[in-house]
Amino acid sequence: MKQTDEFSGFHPIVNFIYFALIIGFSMVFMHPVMLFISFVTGITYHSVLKGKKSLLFFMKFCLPLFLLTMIINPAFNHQGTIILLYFPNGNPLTFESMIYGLAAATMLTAVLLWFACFTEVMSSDKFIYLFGKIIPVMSLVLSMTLRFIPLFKKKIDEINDAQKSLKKGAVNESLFSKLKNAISVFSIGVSWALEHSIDVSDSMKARGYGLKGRTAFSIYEFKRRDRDALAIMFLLGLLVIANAVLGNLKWRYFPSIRGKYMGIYQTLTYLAYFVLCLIPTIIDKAEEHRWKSLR
Amino acid sequence: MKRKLLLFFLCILLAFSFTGCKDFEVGVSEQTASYSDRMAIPEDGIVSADVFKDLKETKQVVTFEGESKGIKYEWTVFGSEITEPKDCNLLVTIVKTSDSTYIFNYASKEDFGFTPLLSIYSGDNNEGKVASLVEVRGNESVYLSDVYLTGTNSEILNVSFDSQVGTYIIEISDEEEALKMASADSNENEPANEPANEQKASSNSESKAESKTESKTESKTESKADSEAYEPDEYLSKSTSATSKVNTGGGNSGGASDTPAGRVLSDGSRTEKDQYLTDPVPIGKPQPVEPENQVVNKGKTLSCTFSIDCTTILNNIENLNPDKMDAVPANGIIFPSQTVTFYEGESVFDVLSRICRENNIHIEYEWTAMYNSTYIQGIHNLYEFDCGSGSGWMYKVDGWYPNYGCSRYVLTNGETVEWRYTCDLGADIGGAYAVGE
Repeated sequence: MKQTDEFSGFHPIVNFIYFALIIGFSMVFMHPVMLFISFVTGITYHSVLKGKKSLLFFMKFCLPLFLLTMIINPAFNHQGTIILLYFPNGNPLTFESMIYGLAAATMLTAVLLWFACFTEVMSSDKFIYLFGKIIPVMSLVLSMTLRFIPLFKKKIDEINDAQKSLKKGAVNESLFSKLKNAISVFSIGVSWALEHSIDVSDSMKARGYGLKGRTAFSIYEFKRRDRDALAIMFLLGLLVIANAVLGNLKWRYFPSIRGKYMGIYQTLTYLAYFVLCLIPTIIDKAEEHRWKSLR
Repeated sequence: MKRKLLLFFLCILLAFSFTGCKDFEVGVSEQTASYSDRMAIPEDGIVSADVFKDLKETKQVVTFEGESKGIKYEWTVFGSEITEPKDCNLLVTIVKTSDSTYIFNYASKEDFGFTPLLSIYSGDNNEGKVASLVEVRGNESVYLSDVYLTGTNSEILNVSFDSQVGTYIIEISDEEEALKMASADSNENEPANEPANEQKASSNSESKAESKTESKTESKTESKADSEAYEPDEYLSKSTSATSKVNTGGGNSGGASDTPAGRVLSDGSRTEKDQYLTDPVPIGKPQPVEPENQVVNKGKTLSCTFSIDCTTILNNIENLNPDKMDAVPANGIIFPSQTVTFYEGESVFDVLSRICRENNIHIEYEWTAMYNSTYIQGIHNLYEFDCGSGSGWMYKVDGWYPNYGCSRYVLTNGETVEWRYTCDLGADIGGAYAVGE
């Protein structure tokens, strides 16, 4: 398994708890500063993981999603005190609904980015390692589902190449025959996928997967750095949760935008959240620095 | 070494988070003030300036409860309305002199400097009635403002007037009688702004100041005490209003009440729901007109009296979505009762949407094909369900809550349209019948 960054090398439980925390926070907090932090750090970590491909992902999926959400919200939400203009159907376009649209778009994009990082770090073997004992069937199904799309894409490419070598769907053919070929490629792909999933489940059954007393080999070891990372994560997370429970991260969008700065401890919360979101990036960069300095 | 450093870091964080929590609690309590939403008025009635100062700072809304000889009353005070905090005597003496008259006397020697809402729980059934605030000056009684009735039997009298000194009278009269007179009056003067008789002139477009100090007829003269300063634009002319309701001197009560052209009144022959699920319309009330059949005649302008209020929210402020507190006016009146003009053939919805647009009042609505009408979801950012599960907007024309949507009610000249917020499916504004059983 190719290791993309240092954080991926941590114990799976650390990875999983970290992402559960971050994605949960990103989905719950509508406070603009928190959204911004999660959004920016999401981009940062994704680019650490994927390098130049990250930009492509951002342009292809995140940006359209961002723009779509931003435009759609004011079209259906008419709450707010500052009326800018009226839609043809008579309902108002309000400043607040536009701001809310912007916030919702940021949240959605941030969550998407963090999920992209999650699938990158939490490979299916880690997932099975964590949940194989507790919920064997569910975790196998989940890991198969998560793996399905990339695998299917790869297989389709293979089938395509094979078909091309049979002189089907070649470059100079008409659009109709190209289309016909594409359909047959897809059909082959689907039948392969169905067969493959049955193969996998049979094979897992043959190996006694999920049976009592069955052991599985794993190379994961809970080291001191895992414990330290977990402790820091819990502390920072606790700080953020405590503030949220105490109502310090409240932000009102409707009917008029209202938010208050509650002093130094709110800044501290932002800082804690920022550090929490940056943990994998910091770990990776520190490791890189050490590697270079030791060389 | 490294381990110790980490331990040190964790300890600092722990310390931060704990001291932080302590300070947060202080911060929060400062934020939302320590007053409960409901407070009893003290024995001597005096609420100190400190309390009002705190309310002003936290912008809290507090209800002060009191009782006078078995009649309960309460003040709803908006912290955001307070300008100069000072000691205020909130005691009020209320005497019921007859079935339809309440006299109340403020114990306060000076005005509060802001206008809280006084709600009197009269305890009698005022359904189908209207009330107005009157002041006695010498031999004359002068009309001051409308009194908004709320509650299951319309037993709550809501007074919002900028003076808190002296003695005032609330007069309750039959709505239908008052309306009959009002419509008879306005039927006579077709272009609405023309005064029809001497009596009317006092309440017409002449200044408010004049009507406050002077009174022209011997017995009772109506005048409009309009505290709101809405700019009358070309379309919306502010002139005569619901004030003529209190008119008892006019002898034209038996006047023309014939059906306006084009309106079909219900004769009670229909016994089943129509295709848009509307129950049979009561006898004598207008049948719904489908929006697609409405013909707007832009050549002819008519006038009606229009108002939007959410007084019931002030009686149920504890149920209100706290975020919406800012959207509630301190006296519950979003658009004070006034005469507006419209084109012949326009529906209640047409007039409402135009008024809101012209006065920059927020509104959101949705076309509902099932009922072939527009449904008003929210006005002034107060939406359905914002004040309990039974809350939303209802409309009333000439004392009757139609049992069909506002796009299907075509207005005629001189009608009185009231948009009211209900917190209990219409029961608290006397319109439970409109929503079915």
